[in-house]
Amino acid sequence: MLSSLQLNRIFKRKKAQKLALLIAAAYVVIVFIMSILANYIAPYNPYTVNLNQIFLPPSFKHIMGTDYLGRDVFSRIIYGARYSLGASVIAVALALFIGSIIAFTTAYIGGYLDRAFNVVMDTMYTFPLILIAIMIAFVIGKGFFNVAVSVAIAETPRFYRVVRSSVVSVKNRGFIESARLSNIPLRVIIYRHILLLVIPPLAVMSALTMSDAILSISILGFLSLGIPPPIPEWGADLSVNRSALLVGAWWALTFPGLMILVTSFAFLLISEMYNEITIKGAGEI
Amino acid sequence: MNPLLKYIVKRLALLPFQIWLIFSIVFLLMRAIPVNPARAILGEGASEEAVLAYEKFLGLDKPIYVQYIQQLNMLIHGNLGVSYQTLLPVWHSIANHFPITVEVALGGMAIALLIGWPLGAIAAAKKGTLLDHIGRIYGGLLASMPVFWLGLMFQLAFLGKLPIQGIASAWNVFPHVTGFALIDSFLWGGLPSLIDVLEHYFLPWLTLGLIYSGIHSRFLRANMERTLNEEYIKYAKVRGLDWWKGIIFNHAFKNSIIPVVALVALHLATLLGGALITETVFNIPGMGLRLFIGIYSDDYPIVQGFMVFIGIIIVLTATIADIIIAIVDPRVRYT
Repeated sequence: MLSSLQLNRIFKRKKAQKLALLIAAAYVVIVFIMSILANYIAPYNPYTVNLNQIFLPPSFKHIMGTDYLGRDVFSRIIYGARYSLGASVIAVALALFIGSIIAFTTAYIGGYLDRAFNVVMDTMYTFPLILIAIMIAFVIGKGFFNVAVSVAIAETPRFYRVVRSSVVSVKNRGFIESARLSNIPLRVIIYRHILLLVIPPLAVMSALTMSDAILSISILGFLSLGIPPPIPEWGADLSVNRSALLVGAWWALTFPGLMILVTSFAFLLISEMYNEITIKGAGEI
Repeated sequence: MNPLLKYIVKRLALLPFQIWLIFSIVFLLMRAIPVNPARAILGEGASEEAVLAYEKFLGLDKPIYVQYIQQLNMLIHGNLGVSYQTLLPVWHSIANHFPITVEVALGGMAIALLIGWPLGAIAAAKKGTLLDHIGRIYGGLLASMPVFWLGLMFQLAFLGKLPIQGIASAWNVFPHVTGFALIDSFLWGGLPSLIDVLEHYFLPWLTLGLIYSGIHSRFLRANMERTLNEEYIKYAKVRGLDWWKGIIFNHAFKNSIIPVVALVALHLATLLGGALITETVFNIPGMGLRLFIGIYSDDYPIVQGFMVFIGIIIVLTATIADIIIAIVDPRVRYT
């Protein structure tokens, strides 16, 4: 039995976790709205070059200063959310779809097919995500969708592993067998007994992968393998503004990076807090 | 047969298969590129005959399965091909650049552990307190920080105080002996030369170390949490041992460290990825910088060879880590 003191602590912790989850989710919603309404929020056109106003420090006119071509950093960050977040969402959705489909079919069939896929996916999984993404981006070239696809392929093994381990753990349990014996159609078994079970861990994995996708896309952008300039992607903006180092224009390098950091952290927080609240439950003190 | 031995043999038998798999995936991907390498090297103005002749010279006129078998045969004999740009063997580039990457990665790992382990141990010992929460937030923030951005921030902060580019000052022209800059510089110019290289390595090490310290503090915290729930910890408490030295360090830390060491080996792969990117920020002539030069100039053999080589290093460390885990944790052997 739990003492009232322990129960108190559980509730307190759950409260803190819910608060953190709420803040992170609110931030993510705000960034999404910001990216959709960029035309109305951004004070300047993010593409307008103004060579008379290179590297202006933050002021009331330009709250985050201007970059190496005199463009407004704040406007570029707001428009950048479209590309950085958009590509990440597409990447995660693709990876979720491909990984789950492969895992469902191969794990349900089992046998050599399952084993072969498992070795391939495990080998991919040991690779750093970013190296796979770099190589695929090199092969298929720059651009918005290409970057999303590169990151998606790199992330596929993660979803594969989550789904496969769930399917394998459930597949040979008694209730699946009795469902099969009572002539329930396969799609109903998969939907009712397997899919519903996989959804919570998949949701956690999706949020965690969003956090990594934002990082990977910014790294690809920084290495000029991603969304090409002059599109205001956060990582690419950091790369083209490297001359800011020489003149000490910290604002052109700090703010886009902070956006990457905070957005990626928000998704990580959502994944962890959701995991602790729903899956681990209150068993832990 | 002894289950441990059986496990090791099974794990080692998988190794050639994994290497073949990596090679095949990389090879097929490289052939999926729509650009004609001969055309890319000779330029748009080259005549059709010249391009065909160059293709023949590079061996690209043969059917793809012939190229595959040829290159697989080359790989088995330890040959990774020849760079299109420099016409030197890919091994030559690896020998020149890999030692630098090893130095960057291992230095980063050392700093990551120096920061991460004490943090993890303190967090586990002070579980549930403010200190623990701060540690968690620290780990999360660093896990979501772009490694290149932290590098840029350090360059901004230390501009003029510490070198932010390259691995040595202009006067420090040590020759290539072992390939390891730390050793070569010391052999050439003694201590001042070595200190100069260390100054250049400081910021890249700090960047990598901070980024990965969060992950290692989490690993250790999770493992120590498990250890601290063991019966012998309760017994140690009852015996009245000193909390920090007797219980946390001697009992919990020492018993948690072995599985964590295996995780560290497993994590070297991730760190290697970070090291390659850090090199491009700080202009350090390791494999990362060379790889990206190869990527920007469409030097396929360099990209393919480096990827296969990195892949081999990664599966080797993963295998070693798995074997260490199996030796330490008997449950693994029977699965």
